[in-house]
Amino acid sequence: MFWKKKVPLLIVFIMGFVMAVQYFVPSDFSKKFYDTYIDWAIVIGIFGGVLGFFSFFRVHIHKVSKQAPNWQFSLISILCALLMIIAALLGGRGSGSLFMKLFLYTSAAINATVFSLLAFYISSAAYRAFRARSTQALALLLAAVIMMLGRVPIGDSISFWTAWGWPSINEISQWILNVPNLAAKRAIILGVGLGSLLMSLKIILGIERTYLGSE
Amino acid sequence: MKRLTFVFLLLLIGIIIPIGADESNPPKPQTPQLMDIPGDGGTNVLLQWRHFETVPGIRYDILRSEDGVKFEVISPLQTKTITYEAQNQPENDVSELGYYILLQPQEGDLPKAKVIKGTDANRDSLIAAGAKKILRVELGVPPLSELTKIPNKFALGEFYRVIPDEKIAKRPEPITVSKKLFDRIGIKTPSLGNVTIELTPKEKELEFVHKGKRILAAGEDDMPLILKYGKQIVSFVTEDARYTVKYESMQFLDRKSKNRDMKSGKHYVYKIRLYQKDIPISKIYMDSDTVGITPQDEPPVVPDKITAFYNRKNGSAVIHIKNTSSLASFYDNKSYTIFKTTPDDTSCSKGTQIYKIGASAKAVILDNVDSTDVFYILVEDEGGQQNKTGLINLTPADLKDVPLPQNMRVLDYENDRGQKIALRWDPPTLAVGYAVEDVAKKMMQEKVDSKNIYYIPTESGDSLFVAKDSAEIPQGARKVLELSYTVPGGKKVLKISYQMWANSDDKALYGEFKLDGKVKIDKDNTGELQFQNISAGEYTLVGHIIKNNGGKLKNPEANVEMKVDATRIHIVPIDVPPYVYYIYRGTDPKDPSTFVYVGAAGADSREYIDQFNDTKTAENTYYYIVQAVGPNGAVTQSDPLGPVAAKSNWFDTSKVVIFLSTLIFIIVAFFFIYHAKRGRKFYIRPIAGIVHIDEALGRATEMGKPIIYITGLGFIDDIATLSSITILGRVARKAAEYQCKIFVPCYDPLVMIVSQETVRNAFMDAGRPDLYNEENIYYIAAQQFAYAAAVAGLMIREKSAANFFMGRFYAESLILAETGASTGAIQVAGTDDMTQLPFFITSCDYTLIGEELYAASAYLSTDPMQRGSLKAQDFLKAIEMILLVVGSLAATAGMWWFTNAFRALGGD
Repeated sequence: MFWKKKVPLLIVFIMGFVMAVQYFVPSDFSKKFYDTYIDWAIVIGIFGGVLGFFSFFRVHIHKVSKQAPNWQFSLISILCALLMIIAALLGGRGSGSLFMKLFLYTSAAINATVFSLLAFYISSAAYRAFRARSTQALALLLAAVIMMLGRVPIGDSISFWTAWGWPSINEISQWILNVPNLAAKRAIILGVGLGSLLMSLKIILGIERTYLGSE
Repeated sequence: MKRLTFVFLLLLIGIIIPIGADESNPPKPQTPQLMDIPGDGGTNVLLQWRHFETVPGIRYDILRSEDGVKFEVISPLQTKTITYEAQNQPENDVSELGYYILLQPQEGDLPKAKVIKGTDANRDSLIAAGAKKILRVELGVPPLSELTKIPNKFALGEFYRVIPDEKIAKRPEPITVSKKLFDRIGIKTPSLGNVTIELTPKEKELEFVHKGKRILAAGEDDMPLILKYGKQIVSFVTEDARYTVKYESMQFLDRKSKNRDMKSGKHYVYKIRLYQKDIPISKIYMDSDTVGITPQDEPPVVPDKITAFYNRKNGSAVIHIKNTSSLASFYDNKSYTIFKTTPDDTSCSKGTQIYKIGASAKAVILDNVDSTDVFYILVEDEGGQQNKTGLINLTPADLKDVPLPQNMRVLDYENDRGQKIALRWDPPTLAVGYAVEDVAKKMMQEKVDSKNIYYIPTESGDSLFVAKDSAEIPQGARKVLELSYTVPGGKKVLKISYQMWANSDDKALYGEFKLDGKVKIDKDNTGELQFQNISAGEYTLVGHIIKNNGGKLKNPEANVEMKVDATRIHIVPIDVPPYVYYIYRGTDPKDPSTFVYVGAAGADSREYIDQFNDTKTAENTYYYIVQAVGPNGAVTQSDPLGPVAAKSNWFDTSKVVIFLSTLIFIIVAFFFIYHAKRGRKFYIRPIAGIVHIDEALGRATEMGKPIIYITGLGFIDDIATLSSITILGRVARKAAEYQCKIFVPCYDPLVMIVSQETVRNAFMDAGRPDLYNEENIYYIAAQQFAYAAAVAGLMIREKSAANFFMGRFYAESLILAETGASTGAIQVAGTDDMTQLPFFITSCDYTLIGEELYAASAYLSTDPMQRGSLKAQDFLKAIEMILLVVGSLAATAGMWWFTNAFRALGGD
């Protein structure tokens, strides 16, 4: 209990308090302390990488050895991970190396493919969001239509009412972005700021300790 | 299975090893030229060499030895990254052009390449002289496999492969000329300013193009045309060799430093090493030949530009001292001693010492001198060696006085770690300029082909000419085809540009301007504001500098009242006095030789920050001298200012508002936590997303399907991730109680470890440790879309009944949420990322918006302290809302003091 709960809580309390004070202290000592802290964070992060590596292999080797459903995917994952490691060890990671070729022509390409799926997902999500089933949904639909028209040249072309001095679709869409949208965003940002401050305080004081494993 | 994997791995290694090992050694790098920097105390050596583009290499190491045997690497140097290109374009084949390459040997250097067109008359003699016919030119770097096919030779020369394009040459060329040129030839244009004219092509260019495809050396023809139609040649390929001519000049300065010693009179041997490959299991490199040098501590180099004036106004002399050499920064000159002597002392061996200053001094004032006095300067370096200038005569002049800054002071710079000293002076000044512009100017185009207007470029200036017949057209003139210009549109706009010349002590915030009753405030201090739609006429512009307490700076320089002529389109620029301030730092106010030049400030600055490299040096006591220098050479010098020392500050006063806000926040939080602990019940606002967590878990249990909990792409130091983990603890506990399977795929290994611990303890707390399976909380990949694809696959394979997305998300949010929606899972999301919230709101059943994510754990908890903290958060939000409303009302009513009060507290 002492080592699993009290010591981590004490470390969090001391470090949380010290780092909060450090923010207000510009002295040389404070700067050096902060630099050291960053170095430590990097070192700990590297150890974390090793743990992730072992977790990855453990899960997939287990699946392959037990021939769990879809174990073939696990085998491919293991082989691909090993291939990248071996390529980096033998050929380095420089421009033109096998590792870089594998990264650019497989990993980056697959990433771009998954990213491009977003276009289709946005369409399906937009279809669901813009169904005018209530007054609020209708307002959302109208705002969305104005925004979409405001982003394409046709928006300005069909704004025939500008001849009477009224704002064009482009100007209306810009107003929606700059006034109601920005106001709502700022409200959320202020709430997030307060919330994160309180969360930090709860963690420093040990009120919030679920991240240690339990309450 | 294991055997199969082993065999596959062996095969893989078998494939990769030959790929990695099949590389030939690169050609030998060029031997560096060494240069002992003169006048430097023998502590600097410059290495220079050429890196030819076809020499494959990734990095140079510079190696130094004291005995010529044992070398140490003193510095790595990256080469330019070369992309190897395929060279199969038709433009590379020049065999039909009949060019020959001839190498002319040069002593102590690489041969010079000459490229000569072979004709019937010279072909035999060229071949006899050793010239080789060029078959191909390479405009990029060929692949490594190509490079090794024939021997590589290197030569000097800059050549271009010229492929002229008639279409480009015949295109009309637009240039901009003054409207006055048209006035002179009697053609009136309603243009606001300049006129753009389109001209017929240059004859010279047409002539260049008509000569056809060829190879030209740099300077062999008009260089802009060569660059326009040509591409630089990397190498020439003949039947038996490749001659590379394009290179990058490389250099490295080896100098005495903390980590590396260098002594004058000691011999050093250098070589450079070019790496083609440098990885743990394979290093391929080639060393250059070695070359040695013994750096010398030469006598000091005397200043090469000395101008001396005798100021008839006050009987003083001003001597400006300058070293114009690019190597001056390496000189180890320590002091300048000024001697007064007689004109017959041509050897500068007599005279009396009248002044001694540090060798970084830029100007010296000598009082009580005569216009016929003659001087010389004795230069002494760090090693005690001396050198003298020639005789310096004074040039009589009436130098206009240069004012020294008012109220100069030196002080420790605020809110720093003790590395800066500030020099500040007065007065704070508002400098204003303006531009009167047309609001709706229009672009007009006019065809003038039939008017026979010709453009004649001359050295004295461009001119236009109207030709009545073709016989009158001057040599080199080009016909004007079309005019384009802007015409006025009516109302005008007055664009004010201003600068606040102030220092931190003045607390200046922004400018406020009034134009005949109309007020404009530049709250964000952009230095620019506009008065739109003003009619032509004369106006009075009044400007002030507003301080951080909302008041105006009172001194006259900070308040401007000027006439604005808005009857015509014109610009009045900001007027900056032509002075410069030289700043010197010294340790003894009575000894000018202890002062060193540290920097200069313009007349538009009111502060100079002297920054030290380390805090230890900055702790010493210093004095400062300021010299104000005018454009005609006049100098005024201040008395020493100080003493002052830089101090490490222990509180950043610019963060007072943040500190006070945090303090108030903590006090409020403690108040509510205290009352909650004492048993007081608080009303907690309902959060829709949270109350439905139980519903989602219940559904998963009923369906007998797992739940997936995603902590996002945040790291363990993200507040959103920590909040997510706290919610995970509670979700996992409920899952254990309902005997429901939970998957937690992780993006970050540290988040995975913490999640495993959290879920394990939650299962133990629920009394079901037997249900816990560590392999269900696992690491996927720290790559965004790899993670997204894996989680989407998991959702589809497992057909999860409930998905939770809590934490920090980026572009993958919609991929995850839409996939989950397509499987029919009930989905609860929570994030503080503004850009991803709309996606979650659209695709998920319930969404925790912003701070609701942080509040969720407290809401789910029965702990009174957690609930008290939630109440504190709501209370502070109420205070924030009141401040927002009051602030908006105050700003609308023009009461800027409200917002300025926060700035005044903050000190910025």
